[in-house]
Amino acid sequence: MTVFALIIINKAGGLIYHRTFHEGGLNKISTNDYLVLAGTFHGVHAITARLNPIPQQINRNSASSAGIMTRPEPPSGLEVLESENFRLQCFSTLTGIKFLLFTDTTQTNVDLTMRRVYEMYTDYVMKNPFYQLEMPVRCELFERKLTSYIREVNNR
Amino acid sequence: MSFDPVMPPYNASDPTARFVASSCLDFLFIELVPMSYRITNELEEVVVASSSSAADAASIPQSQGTVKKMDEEEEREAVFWRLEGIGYRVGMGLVERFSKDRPKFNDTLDVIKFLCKDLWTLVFRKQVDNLKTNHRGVYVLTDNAFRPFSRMSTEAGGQAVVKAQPFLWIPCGIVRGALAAMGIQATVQAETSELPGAVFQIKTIPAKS
Amino acid sequence: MVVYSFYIFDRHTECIYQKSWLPPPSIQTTTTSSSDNAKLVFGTVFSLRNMVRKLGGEDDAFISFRTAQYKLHYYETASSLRFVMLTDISTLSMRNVLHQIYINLWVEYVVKNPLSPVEHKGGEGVRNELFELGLDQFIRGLM
Repeated sequence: MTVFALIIINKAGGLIYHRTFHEGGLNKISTNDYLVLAGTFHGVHAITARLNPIPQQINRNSASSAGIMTRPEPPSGLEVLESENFRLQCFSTLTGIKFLLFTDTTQTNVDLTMRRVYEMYTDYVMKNPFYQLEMPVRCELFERKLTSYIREVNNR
Repeated sequence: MSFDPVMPPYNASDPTARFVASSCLDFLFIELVPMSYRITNELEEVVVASSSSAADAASIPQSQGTVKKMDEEEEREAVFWRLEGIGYRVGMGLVERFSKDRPKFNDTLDVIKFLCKDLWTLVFRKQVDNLKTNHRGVYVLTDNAFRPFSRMSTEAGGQAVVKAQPFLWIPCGIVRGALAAMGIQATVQAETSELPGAVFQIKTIPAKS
Repeated sequence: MVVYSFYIFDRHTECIYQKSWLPPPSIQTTTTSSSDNAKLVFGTVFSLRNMVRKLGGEDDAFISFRTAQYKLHYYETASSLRFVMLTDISTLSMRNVLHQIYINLWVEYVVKNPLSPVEHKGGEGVRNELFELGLDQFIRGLM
């Protein structure tokens, strides 16, 4: 059970953070490739939300009984991707930031790990007065906490 | 292709074992038809081009683009003879090889039965489903699931039956060739009214004595 | 298990077959035509496949992704034929199913169909009755 890497993409599709935790899990690619990857993923994510094959319909039964028209859940984009060699979980925050966790294919409880990572982001990045929104994350405390947490997960 | 039952062990590690994928024959039957159409048309173009350039090249230079093609009937005839001829040659050779262990044929019906059972199994991997004769030299062979038609299909309303017709010409030739090799002169026609069935009509030509 | 739709793309990236098992869409919903949709599907799987190869190595293969609403399954043959299927999210891996469609339906009823051309421009030869019938029966048997 191994977490390979973390990528954070801002709401414009720009790469603001990437860190590899485990050598040999994923191919080494250049920072430029990571930037391209972030942009591509951002676009694909938007398209996967549009590809939703289920017709969006307002649930009339519940609406009439409750007397309130409930807004249907908007279609989400890609949440989990599986390949032969890895698993990618994407968490898209309501503010449009995307967290991408790459793990091995047998990894379980990624939701939990993702939640912790998001908490760390809010605690150590968003609460850091020196951090400029939408810009690359360079926060030492976040870095340290994240690294030690993931090390703990990977050694479990 | 062989009548010999495959004896175990027939695994791939056996150095003496030889296999041919039956799909090879399927693909060959499939490709021979469009190939014959291509060859026929290309030969025709060559003939038309050379004759027109030899006769009067200077007068109408544009004639090359609008050369008179064969009409549909001529094309059909030409392709038919090409395919039927290929089949004829194959049929003759096949019988030479696979009748060697057979007892002598008594009469024409014997030969037709050999055709329906042994040869059909060899080439189409099943026997003919129904054999009828008027006892005056006409035999009608019905195969309800003719192998080359087993996967033939078009869009609904795509006239599959019409398009299937040229794929009967090689089998026609094979039947005629096989009969010829066994000493029976005949004409062979085939048609299908519904895929994957096919009906072959054999009219034997009595030998002049 | 519910299968929503199915696509085949040839090695020229053209969508040569698509089928939906959903009831016809109501007017209010669909604004994109089915051919636009096929292009979006292809763009998505192509990007993800490339991304997977970049990160997971040349031998890695993109298998599937899911959103909160649907799951997309992908299978690519050695001949660069691509099979895509959209199902509900509780469906397990459909890779086997796509592989079965390839060997039992595509090879048998398209490749070995004497009336089907080698290239399937505009879906020619794929939409034949035997293939469509076989596919529909196979999918309905799963559901």
